[in-house]
Amino acid sequence: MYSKITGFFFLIILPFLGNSQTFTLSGYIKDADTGETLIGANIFNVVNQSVGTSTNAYGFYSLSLTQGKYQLLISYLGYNDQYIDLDLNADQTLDIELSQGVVIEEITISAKEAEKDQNVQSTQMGKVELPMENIKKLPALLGEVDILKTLQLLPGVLSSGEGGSGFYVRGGGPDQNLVLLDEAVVYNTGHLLGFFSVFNADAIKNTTLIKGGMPARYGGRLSSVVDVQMRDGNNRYYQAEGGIGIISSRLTVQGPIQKEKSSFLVSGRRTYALDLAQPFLEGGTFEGTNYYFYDFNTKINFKLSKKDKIFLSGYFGRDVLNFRQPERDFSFDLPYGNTTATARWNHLFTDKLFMNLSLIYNDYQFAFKGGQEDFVFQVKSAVEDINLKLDFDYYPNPVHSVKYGVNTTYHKLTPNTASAMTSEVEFSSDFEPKYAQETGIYIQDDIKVNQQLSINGGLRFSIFNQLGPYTSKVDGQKYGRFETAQIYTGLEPRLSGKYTLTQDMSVKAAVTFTNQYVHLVTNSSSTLPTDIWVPSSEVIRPQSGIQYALGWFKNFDDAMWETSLEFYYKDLKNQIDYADNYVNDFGVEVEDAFVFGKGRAYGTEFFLRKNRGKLSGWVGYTLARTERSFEDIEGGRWYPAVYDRMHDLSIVANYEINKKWELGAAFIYGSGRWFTPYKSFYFLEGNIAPEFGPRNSAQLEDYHRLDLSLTYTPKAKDEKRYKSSWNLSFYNIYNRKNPYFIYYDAVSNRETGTTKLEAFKVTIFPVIPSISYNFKWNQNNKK
Amino acid sequence: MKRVIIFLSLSMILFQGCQESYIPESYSDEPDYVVEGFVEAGEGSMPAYVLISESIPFLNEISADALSNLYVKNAEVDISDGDQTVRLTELCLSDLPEQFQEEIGAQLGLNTDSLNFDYCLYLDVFDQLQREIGRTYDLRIRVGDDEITANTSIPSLVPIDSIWFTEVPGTPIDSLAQLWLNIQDPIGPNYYRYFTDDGMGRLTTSPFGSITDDVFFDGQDFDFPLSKGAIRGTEADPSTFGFFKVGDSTTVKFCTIDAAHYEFWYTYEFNLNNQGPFASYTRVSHNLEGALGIFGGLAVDVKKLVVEK
Repeated sequence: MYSKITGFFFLIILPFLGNSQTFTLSGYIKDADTGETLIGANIFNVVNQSVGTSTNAYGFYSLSLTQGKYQLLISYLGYNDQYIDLDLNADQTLDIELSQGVVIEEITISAKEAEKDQNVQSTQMGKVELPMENIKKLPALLGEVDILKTLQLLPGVLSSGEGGSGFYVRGGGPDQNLVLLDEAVVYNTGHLLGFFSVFNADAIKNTTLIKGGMPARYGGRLSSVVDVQMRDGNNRYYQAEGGIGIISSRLTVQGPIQKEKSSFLVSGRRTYALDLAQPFLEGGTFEGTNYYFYDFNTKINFKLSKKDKIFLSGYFGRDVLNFRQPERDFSFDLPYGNTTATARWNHLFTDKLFMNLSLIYNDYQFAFKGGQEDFVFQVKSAVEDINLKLDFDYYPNPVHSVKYGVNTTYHKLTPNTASAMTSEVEFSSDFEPKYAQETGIYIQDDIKVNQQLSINGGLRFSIFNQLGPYTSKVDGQKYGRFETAQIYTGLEPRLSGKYTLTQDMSVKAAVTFTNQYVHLVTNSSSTLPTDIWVPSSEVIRPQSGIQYALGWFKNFDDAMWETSLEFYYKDLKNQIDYADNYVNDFGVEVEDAFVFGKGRAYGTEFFLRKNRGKLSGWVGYTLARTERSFEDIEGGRWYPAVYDRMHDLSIVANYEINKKWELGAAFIYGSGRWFTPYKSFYFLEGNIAPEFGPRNSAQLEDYHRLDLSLTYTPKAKDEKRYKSSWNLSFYNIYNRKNPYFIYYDAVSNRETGTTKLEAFKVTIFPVIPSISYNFKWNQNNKK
Repeated sequence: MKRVIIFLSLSMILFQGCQESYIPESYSDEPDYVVEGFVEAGEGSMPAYVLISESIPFLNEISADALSNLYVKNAEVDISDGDQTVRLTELCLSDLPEQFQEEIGAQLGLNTDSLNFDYCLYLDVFDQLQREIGRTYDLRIRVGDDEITANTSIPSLVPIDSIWFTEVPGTPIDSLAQLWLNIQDPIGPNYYRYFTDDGMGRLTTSPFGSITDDVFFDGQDFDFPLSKGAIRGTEADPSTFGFFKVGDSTTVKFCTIDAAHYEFWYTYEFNLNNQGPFASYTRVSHNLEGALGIFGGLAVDVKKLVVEK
């Protein structure tokens, strides 16, 4: 332990020891209009493009250069490029502002290869940044813009089911995605049984998906990272925006608290479809029944000095179902949702050393309380985390870009705890919460070896302690509060490299080792609010995985066209599933029904994107296999996982008809989902009972649909304070009857006196049109 | 309960679903044997019996002829109680006088009037087996070259302590009553199954479920409501379902069973009710080698009473 502490201390003071021969240019890159920092913006030397960097999650950059004159190019997707001529003869701080809007033609032309080839030039593989503006242009189910559904349109990312916001990445389960909102883990990302995600588009600045070559700063999940950043709030003027849709409305207000120094953002969204139906329920069997969900996001930030910034952000969202059947005196309430709170302190020690300290709280709560007369039944489950995180970004010289840090999370996971009460007696399942501490220490370095070769090497060391109070299920031993019942450690090397073949073509490779210590297993087609997260324990070993990836990246026509071809192979250990005879029951702890096995996933992803012009968009295609094998399931036979889809195709297009009208389209095609079919049926106690065939041995029909949207912005060019637009969306426009699930029923034929068991497919989303009205008010603009 | 929540949640979805027939891939596996065999002990218990049938491939039609051929005949069925092995006698309903047909049909929850196929079972006709609490039993069946084996036990009886009727929950209905039962649950895991008269003189289970363990009331004096039995698939009015008609006489058969026996019904009943978009995949825990089904021991307590509030 002592050597670990000294080692880490060394890492902290490391940046102060060296003395470089270069000068440093550092600062923030921001939106010129709102002052909002831009994440992942690029700053490059136009002459030698291997000299450059991009902004971190807080919009900060640091670039070390030898003395001399430079022409630098600063760029960010959706913003105008900017050139800066610089005579560097001392360390210099330079905040740069980029503006959105009309592209200045000559800059677009001269910008040429430098910034547009970033997908080719960076060492990172399998990473996609999606600025919110791009997401908002796509067709949306019931007009609800959804970042998680947009991610599903990328190769290697599959939807968990029709209309669902859950997703699987490269053959990983839904629990193997690390979903972060301002660094806080979001344990349940779905509203309304997963049909909508918890992310309110108006409050979100940026979304990054990493599906391969996960950098060492991320840990705790095997498959992917979805890093969602909330907007900081406009620190120059007041701004309000919102929308009125078929099922929900939303409003976001932001503005300066003290101009240029501090700002706030508050954003809310609520559904009201069933509120509107209340008059129709009056006097009926279900009078008083209602369902809605809401989200509330807020963020405040303060610039304390040139070197210090404080950010406070929070999210609170709930789904609420109130069921009432007055005639039978039967009712229940079912609220569930997430809460996150993040406090962050950015500090610049030097212009080469950036620090962030975060204190994060997040929880997910599920509750059910219902009953009849004096009988009351309730169930509760929860996940609560407190996370302390310290990260450093160190830019010692043009060759190295180093990140290192430590974070430790205290988990409290409350399993489904059921209790029942009558006027006289009370019963409870008495399942105890489970406690654990998860710690990760990491270092990663992005090394530019030469003009052609770059390597990103990283190492993460993770420690997981299962803590008391806990009574061993193996030997009955009791552990006290904070006492370690079980400890697991993992060394997770991460390595990726890029070799440039030509300015617009490169090959990349990556090897990623990952461990996962908290798990959620679901055996239905989508994740549900009732699904339970469980920690690793003496019985449940951590999941682990190795991913190998190889890719070819090439841009065409001045980077107007971007292509990539990636291959991956994943080897997964200690995978978890439910035993064959698992029964979904509140009286049983889920981990008692777990079985353990292994998995493998391999595939090819093809991606073609058109970045500019009136027509933009992409085509993503994945050819893949995902399999699992468990000793306790059919003797270890390899079977296709629920996450297996051999073919997955997405075509996404945006066409700007003119400044007022814009057309959006998304076509999705995927192989049918696997399910376990009935093999035969039998009679027992007069009932017809089914017997299942082998696990996941049949497929539903292939899935496909086309969504269209039309956006009308009446006065697109006007610089008025109040601007608005209309969006008309059609989900599944050709009314494809995609199976959502199948069920079985006995069908009798009276004429022949025979009965037959038949399967029926149920489709839930036919063609669904929707319209929404969106508005924006800017204090800064003319009246 | 979890399924209820999910079902109700789903029903809140506004979108109009649509459905159509769908033919999934099928299997041409050989049929499996299906066994229902029980050994009971206690007042009002039945002699040991075993039913043997075959499963039907998914795509096959069921007709009266097919059903008559479903029951396996000419099997050798032996049950050992530890001291002796008794060979059960094959009996088909059609071989019996009408009076016995009705009696056996009622015990097995069958409507013999509308039964349009022959129903065969293997019965300990002379009640030779020692049917006692605490004993274990081995079953061995031979059908041609095939062999089926299983074992079970009869656990200690937890008797009905008291039994009564109350008003139905919610708005009272004069003609109907809710049945309640009290037991003194012993400390440690216990498993229960119950049957009631379905109003037609047949002992049946409730489609809501026929079993419970004592996870929630271990070692306690416990009252629980019982739902009236019904043959699955019969039309039911949800507002009166599970209640008893005042003035009727009824029978309640309350059984204590062992863990494996409980596990079978637990998975079996879950499976029967487990359909829909969020249904999970559950394979029934059959407790026989070489067949699907159940060979179970029951300690029974039978009460006959008149429904009155």
